[in-house]
Amino acid sequence: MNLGKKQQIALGIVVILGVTLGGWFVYTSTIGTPCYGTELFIDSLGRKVCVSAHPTRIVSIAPSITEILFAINVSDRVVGVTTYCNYPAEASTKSKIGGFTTPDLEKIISLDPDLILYARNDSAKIETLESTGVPVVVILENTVDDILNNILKIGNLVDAEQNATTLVNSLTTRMNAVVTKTQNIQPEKKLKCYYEAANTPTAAGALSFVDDLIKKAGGINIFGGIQKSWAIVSHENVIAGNPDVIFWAPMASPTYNGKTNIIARAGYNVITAVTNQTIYRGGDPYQRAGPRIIDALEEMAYNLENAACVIYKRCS
Amino acid sequence: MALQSEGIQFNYGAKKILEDISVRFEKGYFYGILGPNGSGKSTFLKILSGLLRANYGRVTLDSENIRELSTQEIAKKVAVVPDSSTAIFDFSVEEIVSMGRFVYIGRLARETAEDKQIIEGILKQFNLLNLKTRNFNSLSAGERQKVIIARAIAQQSKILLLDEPTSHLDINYQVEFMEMLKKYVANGLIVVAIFHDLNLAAQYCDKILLLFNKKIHAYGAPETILTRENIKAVYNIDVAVRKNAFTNSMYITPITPRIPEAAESGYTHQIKRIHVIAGGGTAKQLLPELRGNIVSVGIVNALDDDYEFALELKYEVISEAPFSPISEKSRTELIQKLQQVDLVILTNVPFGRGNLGNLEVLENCEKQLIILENTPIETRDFTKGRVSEIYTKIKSKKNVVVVESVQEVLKFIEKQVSG
Amino acid sequence: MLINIVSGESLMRSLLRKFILIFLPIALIASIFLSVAMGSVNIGVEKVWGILLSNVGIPIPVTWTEGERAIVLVLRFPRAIAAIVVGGMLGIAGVAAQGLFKNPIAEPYIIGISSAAGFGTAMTLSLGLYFLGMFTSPIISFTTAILAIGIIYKLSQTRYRLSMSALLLSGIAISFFFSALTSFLLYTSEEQIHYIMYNLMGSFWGVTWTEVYILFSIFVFGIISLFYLGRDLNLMVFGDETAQTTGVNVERSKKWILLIMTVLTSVTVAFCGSIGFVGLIIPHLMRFIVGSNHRALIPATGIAGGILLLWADVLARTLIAPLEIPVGIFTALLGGPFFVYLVLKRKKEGEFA
Repeated sequence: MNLGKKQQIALGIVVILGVTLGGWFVYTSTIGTPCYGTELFIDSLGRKVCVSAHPTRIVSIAPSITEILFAINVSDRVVGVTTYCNYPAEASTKSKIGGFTTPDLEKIISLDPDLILYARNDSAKIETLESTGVPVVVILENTVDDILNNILKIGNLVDAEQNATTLVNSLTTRMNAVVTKTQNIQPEKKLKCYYEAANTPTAAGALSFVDDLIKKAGGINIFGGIQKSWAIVSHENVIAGNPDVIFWAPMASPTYNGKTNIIARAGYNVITAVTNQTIYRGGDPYQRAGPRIIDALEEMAYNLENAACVIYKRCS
Repeated sequence: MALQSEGIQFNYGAKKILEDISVRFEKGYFYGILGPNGSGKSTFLKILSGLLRANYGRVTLDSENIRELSTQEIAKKVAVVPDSSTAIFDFSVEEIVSMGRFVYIGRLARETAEDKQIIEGILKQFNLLNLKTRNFNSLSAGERQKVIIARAIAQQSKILLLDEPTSHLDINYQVEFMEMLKKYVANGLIVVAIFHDLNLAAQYCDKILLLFNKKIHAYGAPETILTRENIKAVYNIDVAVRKNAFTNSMYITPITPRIPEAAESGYTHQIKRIHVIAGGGTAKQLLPELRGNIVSVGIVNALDDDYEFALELKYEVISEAPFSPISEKSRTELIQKLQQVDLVILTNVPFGRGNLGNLEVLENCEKQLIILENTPIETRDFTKGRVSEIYTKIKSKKNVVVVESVQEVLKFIEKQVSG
Repeated sequence: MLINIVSGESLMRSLLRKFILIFLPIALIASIFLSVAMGSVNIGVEKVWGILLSNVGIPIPVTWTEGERAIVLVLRFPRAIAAIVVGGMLGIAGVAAQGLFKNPIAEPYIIGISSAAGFGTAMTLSLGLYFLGMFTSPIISFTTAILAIGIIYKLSQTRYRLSMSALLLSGIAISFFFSALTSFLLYTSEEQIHYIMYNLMGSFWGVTWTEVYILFSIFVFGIISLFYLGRDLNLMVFGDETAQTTGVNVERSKKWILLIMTVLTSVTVAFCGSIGFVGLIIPHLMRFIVGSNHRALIPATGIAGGILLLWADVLARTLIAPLEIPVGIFTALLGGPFFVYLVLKRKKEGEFA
């Protein structure tokens, strides 16, 4: 292909036209973020989001938020959830909008939502979600109390304060019941806990609400000094920490049994939890920042009591 | 138009490759660069074309230092043909020849009608029209080299440098290219080519540059450069240098040393002193076979073939001036020589009044004589019977043996030793 | 005439070439409009056309919702253009790489650009950097790549020439080094791991018109300058020395081609992650169809690469909707069989005898 002078000029014109046309498209195609209402809601990141007083088409991009929405009885106003939203069972009947990493933006837009609830601190993602034209509210938590507060917040946001308050009240009562019992345990008698989120091994750190669970349940997180939500540790650390109790989370494979896996690990046989077999299943409710976190708290407290009895003969 | 190198020195790291090479290449001449491997021929060619920079000295094109010229300016004046080309991607012959026009077309513009004409013309000239659209990589080595030379010609430069252009080509292509280049030289192109084939260079080059030991060993016309001494000095082999009657050019043949026969015959080579009476080229086959012995030849005329052979083989020669009959002096020399040797051989020489003297001396010689007789003496007698007379007398002597082939001569010599 | 039929490859080849040069741009435009009508949400073709035309100003009765309009104009259209532009950039970068390294299996990532840029992305995401807004990650990735290539360029530059083999070797070293660093980052940032990996595998999720604009302008710069150096590339195929004696300023051309290739590739990896094999397959295919003359090859590759990547992206976002497959995986899946095909073809031709 050889370009003569005329053809070069023609090509130049085509290029310029193309660029100009493109520019026009960009201009006419961008959608500003409309304000769906009069309320200015401040989310967990301190962002001021303009939302409607009574959102009727809510998209949740987190299983925990989905649970909360169902628990405060606004499931009829939920139009889209992630493929991983599995609790309660009814959640699976809602339209799926993909995963957390790359939610299907087309699906989201097609559901015509007036509110998107997001549970991660990812600025780029948040900006992209906002480009769909729907207000995005971010909900985050570090402690169990945060979770309860978030339930109230979400209740406020979606105009279901009554339900939210009722729920939180009952949850708080149950939480206090546990805490009053456990806060009286003397520090040296508190059991050392290790919560394993993955067999990397990955442990719950100080910034995770699981750490708070452990504290409230009367235990000490042996990795509670690490200022992270989740931290990759080494088996040596675990052995050195010598936890009295180990909690393990299920992995992707359905046949994974954390207890047998842990007991079989080299060097773990000297750990108190292993010799006493005080190894308990964690997972779903323990790591889900929703109402069932209190179930998890109660269960954890119960297991710790049990362990104290088995190991140290401090039975009640 | 002239290409000149002045005092070129080139080092590769710490090693000196070329030292003080100064030569001038002029219009209308075909130059050949010869030299053994490692003598820096390719390096020198690359320096001439601007691909390499000399450490000292300079190259000038029409008095302009090529270092000051841009790549494009050099390309318009100098074109280079490497010894072989492979293309990693497929291009057609026509596309490749068109590439030679790069300096004139530039990057954006199209080929003009003139360019197309030039390309077409060159394709025609090189007989490449029917291969025009063929994929370069599918051609034979000779055809590929043709295409590359065509591309260089398309550059329309004044100087053409070639690095062993015909080294791995069949003889038909070699001749075709050389003739083509010769034509271009006649039209004013300066052609400088590196050769490994001495004979090809001798035949086509007007001037030869012989590189050796980092320097110019010799420079000049083939006849003066391609001598036994030069070739021995540079390539360290013995050769015979002849002038080819047909082409009127030098041709060079290497002389392989005679390998003594192995112990199968139990023959242990003993050096003998042998004198050969020869003439008219009749000793051609015999003389090389006698190497390893102390051989002398004579009396022969200086223009005689056998004289030449003897000289090349470094045998002692008793010679006579051309066209002169045997002189007293030579005769005395011969007699003396015959007294010194162990053995005398007479080949199938034609005799006339001029060299009759040889036979006369032989008549009185009592040394062992081997006569190599292929044709009857009468057919070789140009003295109206005198020669035949003496010859027959010699044949009947007791110390004479008559054989018909060189092998028999050699066998006889062998027997002599062991016996 | 008879001669032409005997060297039949030429007649068919030149017809094929002309056909392709006309067919490709048409296929491109058609592909854009077709792909914009496809997605995880079903929008009828007439509606799509209506949206597009009315956006240009042609009055069409509105039969679509605001949401559908947003999907077509804000999500699908920029994505389509991005895929085309990136496909074109990678295609011509591949042509540049193959010409530069004089090797038909060279491709743009060969000197480690994608590893270096990938590390930049991983670093940005795992540290949560956002000081430049949406452009933090692309800018850091691009800078990392350019710095890395700059270093190996300096290493490979001898007094008079740029050594391509030195470039290659140090490029491989860079590749390993940054891959290792990236793996380490992945390992230590469990929360972000999925997102980082997704980014590294190449994806057009969430691409905006602004990004498309940037990509497009760099593509235009790239294709025009590479076309300008087309004849140089033709000659360099025969070797640097031959090229120089034919009038090409080899060192200068090499540097420009390397620069263009690096910029094109770094930008695509910075914005859209590693999308492999486009830069390898498309030049090969196009060479087979339009020949090795770079003046035809470069435009053809630019367009064909765009079409390939466009359709790969359509598949990526519709196959298991609402989940998305990284588009880099698709192109890699294509690359495997392609290589097998190459081996079989050469085996048949007796190259491995």
